[in-house]
Amino acid sequence: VRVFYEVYGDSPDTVCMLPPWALMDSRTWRLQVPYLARHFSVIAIDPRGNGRSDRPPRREAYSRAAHVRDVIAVLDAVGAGAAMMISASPRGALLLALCVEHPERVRAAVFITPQLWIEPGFFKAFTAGSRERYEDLENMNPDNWRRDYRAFVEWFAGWTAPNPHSTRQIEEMVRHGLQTDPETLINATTGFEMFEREEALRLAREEVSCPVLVTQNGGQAMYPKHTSGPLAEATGGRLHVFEGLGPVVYARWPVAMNIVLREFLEGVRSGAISGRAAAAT
Amino acid sequence: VTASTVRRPDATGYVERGGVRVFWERYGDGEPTILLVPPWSIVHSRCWKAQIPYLARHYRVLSFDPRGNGGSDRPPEPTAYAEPEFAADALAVLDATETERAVVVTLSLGAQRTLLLAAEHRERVLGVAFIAPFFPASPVRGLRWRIMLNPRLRPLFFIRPPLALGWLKFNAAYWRTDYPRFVDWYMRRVCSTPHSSRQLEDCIEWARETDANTLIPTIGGGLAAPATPKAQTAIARRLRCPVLVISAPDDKVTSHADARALATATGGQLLSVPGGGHTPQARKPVAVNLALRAFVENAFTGDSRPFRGAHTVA
Repeated sequence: VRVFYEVYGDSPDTVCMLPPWALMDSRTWRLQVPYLARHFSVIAIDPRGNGRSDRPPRREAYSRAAHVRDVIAVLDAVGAGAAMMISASPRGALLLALCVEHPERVRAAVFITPQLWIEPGFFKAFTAGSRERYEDLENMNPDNWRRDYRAFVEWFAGWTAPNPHSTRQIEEMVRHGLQTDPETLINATTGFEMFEREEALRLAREEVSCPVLVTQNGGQAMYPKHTSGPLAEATGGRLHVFEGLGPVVYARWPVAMNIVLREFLEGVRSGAISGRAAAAT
Repeated sequence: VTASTVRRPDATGYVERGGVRVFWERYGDGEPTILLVPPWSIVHSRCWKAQIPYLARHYRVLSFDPRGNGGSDRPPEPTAYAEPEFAADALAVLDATETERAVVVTLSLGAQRTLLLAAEHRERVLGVAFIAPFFPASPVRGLRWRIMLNPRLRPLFFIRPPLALGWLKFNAAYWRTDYPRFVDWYMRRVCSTPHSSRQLEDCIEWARETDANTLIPTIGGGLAAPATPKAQTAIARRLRCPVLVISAPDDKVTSHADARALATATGGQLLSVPGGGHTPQARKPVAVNLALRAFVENAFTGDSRPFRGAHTVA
C-alpha cells in the first residue's frame, strides 16, 4: 500500500498534519499548511483510501495499527525524529495511539474536536440497516452510502459546515469525498478501531507525557464537547474553546485556528510549554 | 482568540465643504500614505474592510465615506454629487490630515473622481490603483453605461419602465417604490461570482444605510468627463503617475474591456483577477492586497518606469 505525503518548509522543527478520515485528503489542511510552513517544516499525509494514497480493497488495511505505521514510515522517510502532530475528529484516536506507542516520535499533540470512541448516535445510525429515507445523522449508514454516494457526500459536507458563507468549504469537501467510493469509505470506517471510552481516558492519563492542546468549537452531535474536556484534563493539556464559532474552525475560521496552533507550537519549540514528563523531572 | 479582531482607526474626523460634512478615518503610520477613495454612494468606506488591516500594517491609510452614505452628509441636490465635488473631498481629506502626497486606491465609480484628482493635482498623487474601474470607454462593452448616462436620455431615468426587468431597474421611480428589491438585484450583479455570500450580505447592509431619495441625486451630478470614449480617454491620458488597473473578466457591472481601455490610456499595468466579479478587493483580497503592496513599493521608491502589459493571477 502506497501512502502519499508532502513536506513544506525547511525548519528543523517538524509539524505533522495527520491524515484525516478517508472521506477527505490532506488538502483538508489547505489553510493551515501555507501559514505553518512559514515557521515550521510541515508534513501532510493523504489517508489510505483518498487523495494520492492507495485504496486497498480490504477492511484490515485500514486498521489503526496500519495508520500508526504509515505515520512512522513517513517520519522515517523524511528523516524527522519527532514531530508536533495535529489531528482532527476521529483521527484523534490515531494521535492517541501514536502518543502511547511511539512517545519518542511525538513532540506535542494537538487534538482538534477529537473523537476517541464510537459515539452512540453514530453507532446506532451506522448499524441501523437499510431504510427508505435517511434523515440527519441517519445518513451515516453504509447502505445509504452505497445507494447514493454523491447525495451522502453532499449531505455530509453541508451538515459539517452549517454556518453561513461556507459554500467554498462545502465545495471542497464534496470534491474530496468524490475522490473515493463507498466501499473504500466503509472499509476505512469499520477497519479503524476506535477506543473504549474508559480505556482512552486511562491511556490519556497514564501514558501521554508530551504537551497537549485540545480545541473545541460550538459542536454538533458527532463532535461532542464531552470528549474534549475529559481528554484535556486526563492529559494535563490545554483546552481551547472557540466560543461562538461553529464546526470545522480550521476551514471556516482559519485565522482563529492558525493563531491558536502557532501560539501552542511556538511555546513547545521554545520550551515555554512542556509536557508532564518534562515538568516532573 | 475569537472570530475576528477589528482594526480600529487611530484618528477620525470630518472635513466640511459648502456645508457638507465628509467623515474620514486614519489607520497606521507607515510610509507612504494610501488614500482609499470610495465608489458610488450606495456603499461606503467599509468596502475596504479587507484592505485596511493589511495595508495599515505597512502604510498610513486614509479612507472616507462618500457623500450620501456612511458617516458623511446626504445633501439633497444633484450638484453636490458632481465628480469634482468628490475629488475636492479627497483633496480636503489630504489637507485635513496634513498629507502631502499619497498613493490613491479606488473602486468602481471612484475611478472618475480619482481621474480628476490625479490629473489636476499631480503633485499630490504618487500613483493610482484603479479596481473594477467605472470608465465607459471601450467600444462595445462600455456602451450600456454610455447610453444610461446620456444627457438626452436622462428624462427616462425618472419615468417608470413598463416592466422593471434587468438594468431597467436602474430607475428613480423604481427606487422610490422598490429600493430593497433594486438593492438586492443590483448587489447580485456586483457580487456575482461563486462563494460571494458574505460579500453580498455586506453590500446589501451598506446600501440600506442610505435610501432612494439620497441616491437619486447622485446619478445627476456628472462624471469626470462626458461619457464618451474620446472624453474619457482624454482625461485618463493626462495622468503622469504609475497606474495599476485591477479587474475581473467576470465583472457584470463595469466591463473588463473598460479596465483594459483605462490601462491603455494611462500607460498602466492591467492585473486580471478571475472570479473577482465587481468586487475583486472583497472577493480576492489576498491577491489584490499583494498586488497593491507591490505597486505601492514601486510607486513610492520612485521607480516609476511605466507599468505595461497584462498578467493574470489564479
